[in-house]
Amino acid sequence: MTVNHHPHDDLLLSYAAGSLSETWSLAVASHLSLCTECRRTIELAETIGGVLFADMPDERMSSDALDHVLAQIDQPSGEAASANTQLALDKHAAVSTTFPRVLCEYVGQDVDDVPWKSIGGEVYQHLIKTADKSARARLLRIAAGKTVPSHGHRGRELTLVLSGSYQDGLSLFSAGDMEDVDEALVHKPTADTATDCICLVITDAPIKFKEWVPRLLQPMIGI
Amino acid sequence: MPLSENDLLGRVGLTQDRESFAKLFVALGPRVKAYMMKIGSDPAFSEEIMQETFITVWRKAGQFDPKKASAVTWIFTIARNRRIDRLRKEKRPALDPNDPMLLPNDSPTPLQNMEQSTIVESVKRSIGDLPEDQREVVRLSFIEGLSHQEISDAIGIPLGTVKSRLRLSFEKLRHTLGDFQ
Repeated sequence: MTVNHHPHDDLLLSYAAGSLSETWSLAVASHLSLCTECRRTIELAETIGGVLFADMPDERMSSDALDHVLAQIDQPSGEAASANTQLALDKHAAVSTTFPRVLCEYVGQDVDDVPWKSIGGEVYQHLIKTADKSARARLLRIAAGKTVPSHGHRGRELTLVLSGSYQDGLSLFSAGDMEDVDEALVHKPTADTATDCICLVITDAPIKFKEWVPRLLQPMIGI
Repeated sequence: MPLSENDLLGRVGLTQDRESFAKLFVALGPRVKAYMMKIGSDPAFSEEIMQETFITVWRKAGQFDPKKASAVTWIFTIARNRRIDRLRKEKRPALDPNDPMLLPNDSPTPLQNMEQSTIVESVKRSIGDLPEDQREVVRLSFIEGLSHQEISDAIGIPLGTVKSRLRLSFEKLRHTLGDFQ
């Protein structure tokens, strides 16, 4: 898989620093599952953290800290239980060819089991529940050859292609690609004709449709 | 010569060597505690999360790959994750290194062929060379764990400036490493 479009560095740096909230982290972690290049970038960014961390002045530990930790590591851990979870995940992973594992925890393994809701024009969405309110996550399924109505953005929008591909007149976005756009862009993504295009979309503000019909529908469909 | 942190962590991973683990704990525990203190938690709570971090280090040491990270960086990531998990109410979506979707790297990048110690030295030098205002933003992000918006509020500069300072410092770092390619 050749990934040509990546999130901007600010997101990768926040993720590596541990200061990125849940919804945005979901998108970054999903992209990382598909992008070797950004995994390298994260490793490099984490090295910054490691260097700054190494440079901190020490804080005195309690006198029994070592004994306490050594006693703890002898305790049976939750490893057995988590090994089972790992096995269960491994079984499922064999059949989930679309969703990275980090995303499976939110939407399940199978594209056809997702409770898709039509938003018109053979475009479907599924809202993903996350705890942080800084942004909203959704899966989008655009039927082969169909188009998401032309829209602009009041804020930032991340679109990670999970399967199929779409083009917006300028660029082609295929599996693994992440389009990272701000309010300046107005676009009209069209799925390629061969297969449905499935994407993970994160928005930090409602998007603005240019055409009147979707605009009327907007309050009902929650975009 | 005393063993390096990389050697100690490597031994813990390979043979579950308790003596190496104890040395690693004595060397880096105080640093992890200092890192926990940065987010305003009291000493007792910081001590607790520090100890939990090292229990995770013990359990996960087998996953440590010295080609991908230095021991200190690896322990930093364990501490970072622990700090988020204990302080944030929301989930922490993270890359699953066992996800079969992770394809093996078809073409190794120049960075992959570089020794970790060389990368760490370059990063150190690059951070040392940053202008103070850029270094401060990087520190607030990685050590204090502040979001970009929180940094903007904390030091009274626009969000865009926070992002551009971070971006600039990262570009410089990449440039420094590029010099080795």
